[in-house]
Amino acid sequence: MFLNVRISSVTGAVSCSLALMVFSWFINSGFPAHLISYGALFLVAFLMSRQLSSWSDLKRVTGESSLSPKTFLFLIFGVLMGISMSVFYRWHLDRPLFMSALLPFAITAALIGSMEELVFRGYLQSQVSEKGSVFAILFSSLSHTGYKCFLFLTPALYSSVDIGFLAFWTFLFGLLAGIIRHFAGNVWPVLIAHALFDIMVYGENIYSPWWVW
Amino acid sequence: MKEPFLLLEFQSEVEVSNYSKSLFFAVTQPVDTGKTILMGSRGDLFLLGEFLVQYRDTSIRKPLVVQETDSILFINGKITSISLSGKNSEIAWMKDLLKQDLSALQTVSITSDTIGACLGDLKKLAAVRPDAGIVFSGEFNRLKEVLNIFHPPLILSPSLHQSDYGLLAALPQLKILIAEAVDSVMNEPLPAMPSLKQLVFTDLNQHAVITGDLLVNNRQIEKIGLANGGKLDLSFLRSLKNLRELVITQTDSLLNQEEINRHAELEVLVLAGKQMKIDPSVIRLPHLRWLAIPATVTQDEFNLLIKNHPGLEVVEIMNNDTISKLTALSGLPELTGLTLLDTVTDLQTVKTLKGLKYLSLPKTLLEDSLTRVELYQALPGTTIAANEGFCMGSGWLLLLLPLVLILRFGWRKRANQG
Repeated sequence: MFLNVRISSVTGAVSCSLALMVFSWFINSGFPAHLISYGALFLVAFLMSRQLSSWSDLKRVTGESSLSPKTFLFLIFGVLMGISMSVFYRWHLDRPLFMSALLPFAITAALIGSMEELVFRGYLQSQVSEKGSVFAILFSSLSHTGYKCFLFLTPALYSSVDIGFLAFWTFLFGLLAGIIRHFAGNVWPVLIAHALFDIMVYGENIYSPWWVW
Repeated sequence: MKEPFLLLEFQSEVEVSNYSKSLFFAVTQPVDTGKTILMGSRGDLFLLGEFLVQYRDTSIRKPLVVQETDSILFINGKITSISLSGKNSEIAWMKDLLKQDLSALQTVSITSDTIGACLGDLKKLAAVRPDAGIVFSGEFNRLKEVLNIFHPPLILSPSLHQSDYGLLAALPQLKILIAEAVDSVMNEPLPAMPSLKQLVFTDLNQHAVITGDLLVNNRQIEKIGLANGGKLDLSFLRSLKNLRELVITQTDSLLNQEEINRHAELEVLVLAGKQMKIDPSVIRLPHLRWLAIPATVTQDEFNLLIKNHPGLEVVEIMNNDTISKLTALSGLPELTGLTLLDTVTDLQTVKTLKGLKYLSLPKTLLEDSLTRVELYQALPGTTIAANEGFCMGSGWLLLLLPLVLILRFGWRKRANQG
């Protein structure tokens, strides 16, 4: 019976955000706490699937105007954004500015970045857009930041990642990505930017970083 | 409950060392200009230049920004350690100091001259922070006046005689004692110090004879550090009931090594010294998590040590020319920290240790750009790659797409059947 309960878009989006934070908090825990993360992920999938009654509903995730002429310009902007951010981040890490090899992990890295954009700038931002574009951009950026910070704040990892740095730049990137998604009318430019960034920063890795799996 | 071993980043121009885990045997060089990363756990003492501080707040998940003047050490903008030299010019300075926020103050360094010249100001400081630790550069018995006004949880003093034990007996709040035990024969047990958890004897006399009852009144001690001994008989450890960390450096030989095995709760065992010979077959510690191996350990002995301690999280190999193969490390599923402070002949194995979060290698090795690139590729997320998780989260998020599709089509099918 509860499957037929009507949930507003905003309520669904807030629930998704919280569930994603629960997911990232427990995903690196040992058994059985690990199972909580799968439960949270299932909840996110459930809430998202409720919104998809047909294939055309996918436009809620990808955006309404995927084929508009301005998309091409925004795609170029997304490519430049991805490249420039990756160069800056590699400089920050005191690494060579450009990758020296492209290894199979690049595919996984691109997929992870793309999925994050589909979820945060695609699904969540569109779900709360009825409350206004500013709110939607802020909400999606905060959700993304919360998700990333919880991944490293969890005591299961004992990580000393600079949370302040991570939170600040994730939020800033989220704002920029949200703005681009709003003006482009679709998620593809930021998805490409994020995927390209992950490829250029992590694509020369033989193995995934320790927090990924 | 075990304390996790953390990666700690100090933004500091001075050299940093984890004193508790190395007794100054290993000083970590900055990985980058002004940045030093090393491993430690809550309660560890760190030497930051000339200052001694304790890492206490594990909730801080950001670099520890260290700033230093001649007399004050700031960590994250808070006064953490003070050094008083007894100069007249400090009188006005002290008055200003007492107006500052001293809530984070951990240690006060004083000399014999300071006690004489600044006792009044020390009293004012003690009124604000009576629980500040004392780092003293004179004879221990000169601390009597200071111990009347401070109730330090930490004392570092260069010269402790058995005749000073009476002063120690009056310190029920003392948690950490670091002292140079100058007597060549220590045949009296230390007085009871019920709060004492960490005891370090530095500069042990080369011919020091330690009575087996030394610690009989302090069975609660959890951490022992011993440095610069000649032949060291470990029988005196028998009294301890809860020993968790044992650090022995720059000591030539250890007698009665089987005493180590009596302490099944040992989590940290640091044995470092160019001459120190150990018998690895004797050492079997079920809870061992941090192991530092001395220079004389052979390849076979190394393999045996590692095989017998599968729960190791941190391994340090220092100044050892005989261990050439590190393949045994591949059998450590929990390994997160590795320090190799000598010629590395098995970089190939190092590159396969994908769970590493901290890797300390000889500086000369890292100066080779090709090696650095190879390490970045093979070991993302270590201090070499210094990734901070920017823009890539958990890979398990990829499950979301198939889950949505399954639920979506499963939903539709159920709806159609309904």
